[in-house]
Amino acid sequence: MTLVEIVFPAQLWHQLRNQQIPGWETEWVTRPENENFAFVLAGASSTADRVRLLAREIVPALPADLLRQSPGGITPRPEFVAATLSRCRKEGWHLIETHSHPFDEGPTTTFSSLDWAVDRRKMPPVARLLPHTQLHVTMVMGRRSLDAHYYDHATGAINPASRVEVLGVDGKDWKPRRLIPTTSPESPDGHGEVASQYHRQERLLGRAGQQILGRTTVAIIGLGGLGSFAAIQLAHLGIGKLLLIDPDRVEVTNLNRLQGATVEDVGRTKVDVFAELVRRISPLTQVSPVSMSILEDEAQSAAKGADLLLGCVDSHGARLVLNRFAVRHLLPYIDAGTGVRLASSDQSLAVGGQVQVVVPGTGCLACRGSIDASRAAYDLASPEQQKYEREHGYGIEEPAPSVIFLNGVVASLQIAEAIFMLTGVQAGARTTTTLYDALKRRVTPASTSAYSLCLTCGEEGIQGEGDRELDSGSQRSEIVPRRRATDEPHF
Amino acid sequence: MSNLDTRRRINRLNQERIYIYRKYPTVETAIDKTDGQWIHITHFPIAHGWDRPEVELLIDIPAPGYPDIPPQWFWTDRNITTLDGRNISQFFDHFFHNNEKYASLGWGHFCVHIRGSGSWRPASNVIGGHSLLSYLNLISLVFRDQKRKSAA
Repeated sequence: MTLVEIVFPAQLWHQLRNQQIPGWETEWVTRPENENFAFVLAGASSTADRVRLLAREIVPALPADLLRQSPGGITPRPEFVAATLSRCRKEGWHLIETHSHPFDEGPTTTFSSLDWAVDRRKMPPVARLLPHTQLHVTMVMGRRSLDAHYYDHATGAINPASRVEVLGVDGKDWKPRRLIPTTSPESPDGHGEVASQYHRQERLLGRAGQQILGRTTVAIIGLGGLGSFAAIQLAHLGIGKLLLIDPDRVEVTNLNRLQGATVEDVGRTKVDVFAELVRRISPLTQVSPVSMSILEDEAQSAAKGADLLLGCVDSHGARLVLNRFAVRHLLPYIDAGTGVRLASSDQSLAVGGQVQVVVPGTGCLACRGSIDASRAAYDLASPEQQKYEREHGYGIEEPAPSVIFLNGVVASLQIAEAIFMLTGVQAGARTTTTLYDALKRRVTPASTSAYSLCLTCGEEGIQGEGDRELDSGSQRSEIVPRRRATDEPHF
Repeated sequence: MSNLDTRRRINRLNQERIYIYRKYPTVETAIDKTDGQWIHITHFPIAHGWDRPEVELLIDIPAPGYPDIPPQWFWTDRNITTLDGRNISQFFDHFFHNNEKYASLGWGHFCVHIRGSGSWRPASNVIGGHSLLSYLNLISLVFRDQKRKSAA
């Protein structure tokens, strides 16, 4: 059975959770004892065994959209339902249908028997109105817990969704990733008990935190000076699965900074070298080596299976693509980079690095100005175009200096951010960027905020679009409600 | 790169044409409606001091990538000269010997590279950030700078 997860950017989640939706502020709608109803349009990020539904837009049922609303039930007008289904068909969105159970303050909110009866009756015809690639999920939200299930087109079964993931920040709290289990979840794979080798770190991370690590998949993109440290540290930490993505082979000139690599590894693919190392350190960790560039579709397909992306690349083109990929698929992304600027007549020596966290609400690498567009253009050009550019003096900069002690510090800062994010260990104030100055022996935290006009993460950007293609339904017809309003089901 | 990205790029180019017309009302433009890989601009006005008042431009649009990454290269008549007889290649980085794409039509391939992190910052609304208009302004500035070089 496919694992279905729902991912909300924090801002959307808070709107829905706290009923802070424009139009819901009137007393008639928000009387606390009344149920509320909203559709959520979602993109999807799909792999062979998992679909992550990526919440993109809330379509709230306003007073004019409801036939009835009470503490015991809520019924939207068929015109409202039909208009939303039409949008899903035309624009390629998956449909998440939510209603509240304001009377339920318990830890195990679930669908009522009436909800189940309605869903059994309603979901098959709704599924027939949507292309088979588009899911219909219903979700019920109590005050402290929630439940969700989806209709399986292939089998006709209604199956539980496994969890809701809330990603990003909305306000000052720095909880960039929160997992909210559904009441009837799928059993997650991973280590059950905490192995004895992790007992010392369990004292910091907690048993639950350590178990989360054992169920987490991290993709490391780039296995150079930074990525080699990241892979080894995550293996020691007991991560559940590692996706190692890098197209290169070990060269003699890499050996000054590839943690764990030896002269015998020269000529082997980096992903194979580090897969082997990881397996020796942590036999429980599954490792998938992907010996290709993140610019390739196949590598991106693999990376969709991750819960967290670690960017350890030294190319602005790869950084641009990775940043867009992370935002599009609503995957948390922690980028790391080091730099050495040699002293010259007009500037002094600089040695340092930075770690940047990209989650919704914090801006992305593009709008933070962290990508050199000209160098990205060169990196993303065809080999012929690159040759052409080199013949004219572009893209021929000397290789940057790189030293293992600098990589070690910055990679450790990156892994610390990853562990704080995954396990929920509080890292203090909102920090999206950590700057390291090796010469001044100083680490400086900094915060960034979202830029609403950003092409990537802004309001009209690509956040949460996932695999969506514009052609997926643009020619499909409108859905017109055929039943009389009084025949519409209760929700 | 996805079909969605190609459509977005083409839509973006169409939006940007409107702002190009506002700044340069005499120009005419056409874009690559299939892949969004070029924009053709005719009657683009240039500063005094050249052997003609306007030029024809064909700007290479990075595909994939635009507008996240800026244009770098454009084509124009390689025989254009200043009034004192200097070739355009003295003002732009250029190349036209090994690229036959349009060379037989008398075009030369020139570039204006935008360098540095944060120096190209496009926005979702065209006028809120950098765009083709910014790139055209750069081209216009380089044409204008021939006066300065003449004076020197």
